[in-house]
Amino acid sequence: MDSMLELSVVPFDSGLSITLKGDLDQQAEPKIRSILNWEEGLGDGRRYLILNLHEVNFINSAGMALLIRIARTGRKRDYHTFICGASAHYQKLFRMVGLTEYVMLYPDDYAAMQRIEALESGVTGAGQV
Amino acid sequence: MGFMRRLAYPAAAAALLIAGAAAGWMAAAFLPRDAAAAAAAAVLMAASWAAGWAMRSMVRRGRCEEPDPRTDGARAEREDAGAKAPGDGWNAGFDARQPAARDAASGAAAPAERPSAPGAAGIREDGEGRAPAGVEPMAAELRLAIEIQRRWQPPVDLRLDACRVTARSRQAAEIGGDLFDAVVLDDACVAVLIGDVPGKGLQAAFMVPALLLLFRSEVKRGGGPAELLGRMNRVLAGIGAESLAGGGIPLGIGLLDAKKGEMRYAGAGHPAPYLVMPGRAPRQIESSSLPLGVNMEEEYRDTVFRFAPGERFVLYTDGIIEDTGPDGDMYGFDRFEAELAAWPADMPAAEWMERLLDGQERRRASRRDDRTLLVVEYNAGKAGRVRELRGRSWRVPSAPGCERLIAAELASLLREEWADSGRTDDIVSCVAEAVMNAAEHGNGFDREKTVTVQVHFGQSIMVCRVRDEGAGFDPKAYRSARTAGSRHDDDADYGRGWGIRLIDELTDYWIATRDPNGFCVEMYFLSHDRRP
Repeated sequence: MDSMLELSVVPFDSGLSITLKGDLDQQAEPKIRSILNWEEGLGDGRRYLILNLHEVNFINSAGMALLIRIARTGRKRDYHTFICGASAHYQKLFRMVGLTEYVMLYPDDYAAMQRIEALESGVTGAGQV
Repeated sequence: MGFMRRLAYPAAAAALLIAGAAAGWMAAAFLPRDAAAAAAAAVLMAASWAAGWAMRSMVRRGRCEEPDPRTDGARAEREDAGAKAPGDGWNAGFDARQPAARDAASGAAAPAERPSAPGAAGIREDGEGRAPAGVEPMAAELRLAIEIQRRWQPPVDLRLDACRVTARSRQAAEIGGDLFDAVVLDDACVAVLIGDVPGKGLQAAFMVPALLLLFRSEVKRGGGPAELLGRMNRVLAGIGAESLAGGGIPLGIGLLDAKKGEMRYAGAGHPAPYLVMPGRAPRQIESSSLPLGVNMEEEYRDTVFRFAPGERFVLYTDGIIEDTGPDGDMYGFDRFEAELAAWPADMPAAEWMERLLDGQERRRASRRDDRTLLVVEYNAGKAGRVRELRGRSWRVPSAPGCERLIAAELASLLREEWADSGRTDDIVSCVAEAVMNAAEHGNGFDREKTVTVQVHFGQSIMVCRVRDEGAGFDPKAYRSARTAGSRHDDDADYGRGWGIRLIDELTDYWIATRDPNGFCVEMYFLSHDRRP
C-alpha cells in the first residue's frame, strides 16, 4: 500500500518547517527520507526543525520510530526538533514511547516559532531548548 | 533466635505466595499444553493450601488476623465485576500484563482505595498507625494476592449477537471464593462459568485463579459443559483438590450459541439456575451432581434449551440464597424467586443485579459468604426483535499498511457504537498495532494469508481479537526486555517492540493465545466511566 502522506517543506531563516498531511507509518519513511539528506543536517546552517502534525490523522509505532530517528539524527547534526499540532492522544503515545526525550511538543507552529525566536535571541530558559 | 523465629512465618507465607504466583505465570506461558496447565493448577492449589496454613499459623501466634466478615465485611464489600481492574485475567494464554511486576510498582495503591481499612486482610496496626514488626511484608503480599485475584476475573459485561452476558459479584471478605467468567469462543459462542471455592482468604486467592486457568484451558479444547466438567473434575480429583480446597468445588458451566439462542448447561453441585420470562414464574433448571474434585468417576449431564425472546438465564452462588438477616432469617429461594418474577422486561440485568445486591445489604446481614450473579439475556426487553448486533469482523490480506484500512473502519464503528466510551483513539491505536504485527510478523506480509479482526461491544467493555496464521510471539521476551529497561542505541532498532508496548499501556487487559489455527491477540477495553 502506498504512503498516504503528503509533505510540504517551508524553510525559514534558522530552520525548516515541514507540514505532514495524512498517515505517518512505515510507508511514509521513503517519502520523508527523500526530501532531505538527513545525515547531513538541515543545510545552510539551519538549527531548528518544526514538524507540524496538525493534519496527520494516523500515527503508528513505526511512524513514531521514524520521528525519533529524525530527532536523534538532529542531536548528532546539531539541529533541534519541535513537534507541533499533535493531538492529545498522540502526545500521550509520544510520552509512552519516550519520543519526548528527543523532541519538544508545542500546540502549534506559532508557539514553536516563538520558542525558536527566544532561543535565537539568547533567552533560552536556563539553557534548555 | 527469637527474632529469626518471629520472621519465620511471614517469610514462609510470603515465599509460598510468591511461589504460587510464579507458578501461575509459568502456567500461562505453557498454557496450551494441557498437561502443564493441569500441573500448574495443581501447584497453585498446593500453594493456596500452604499459604493458608502459613496464614493460620500467624493467626495462632497473634501476628495478624484473618478478615472477619462481621467486622470487616461492610468495608470489604465492593462490587467486583464492575469495579475491578479489568482484565488482567487470563484466557488460556499468556497474561501480558505482568501482574506481579505491576503490583510491585503499585502496591501502595490498594490501601489508598480503602482508606478506612486497617491493612490488607485485616492486619492490625498499632496505635501510631504502624503494623506490628514483620507484618508489613505479609500485608504487602496479601495486597498482591487480592490484586492477583482481582485481575484474574475481568468484568463480565458483553454482548454477542442477540445475547448479553453480565455478572456482578460482591465479596464478604477482601479475598473471596466466588468465581465467574465468560470466554468468547467465536463470533457466536461464549462459555460462562460460575462457582464457589469453599475456602476464603489466601486459599481462595490461589484456588480461584487455578480454577479459572483450568477452565480457560479446557474450554478451548472443545466439548460441551458436561464434558468440560468431567475433564476438570478428573484433573481436580487427581490432585486431591477436595482436601486442598477444604471441600468439593461447586461449579456451573454454560455454553451459549448466541446466533441460535441456545444454551447448553451442566452443573457440578452448583445451585440450580433459573430461566426467567418477565411476567411468569421463574423455572429452575435441574442439574444435580457432585461438586468437582470429590469423585474421579463422576459424570455430568448437559441440559439444552432454546431461549424465547426476552428470556433470561440466571446463575447465582449460594451466598445469594444463604444471606442471613440480623434476626437470623435467610434470604432464601422464595424471596429470590419473587425478585426474579418481578424483574421488569425493560430493566437491564446490571441494574437488576445491583438492586438485588443493594437490597440484601440494606438487611444489615452478618455476611459470611460472597454473592455472585451471572445473567444471560436473550433480546431482553426487546421481545420479538430477532437480532441485536453489536459486533463486527474484518479479514484483510497481509500487506504493508493493511492496518490503516482496519483503523479507519474501526474508528467509524466506534464513533457509531461507543462514542461515549472515550476510548476510540486508544482502541484504534492498539488494534492498528496488533494488525500490523499480525501482518508483518505473524504472516510475514504473505498476501495469501489473512489477518482477522473481531470486535464485540458491551455496555461498558469492548473486546477485540486479532488473529494471524503465524506461530505467534512470546510475551515473556517482551516482558524481560521491558523489565531490564533495555534501550537501543542503534537507530535501526528504534520502534521495535513499541507496538506491544502501546498495547500493554493502552488496553485494560490483553492476552495472547495460540491454537492449531494460528495466533490471537485479545484486547479488552473498558469505557472511561468504568475504569478504576
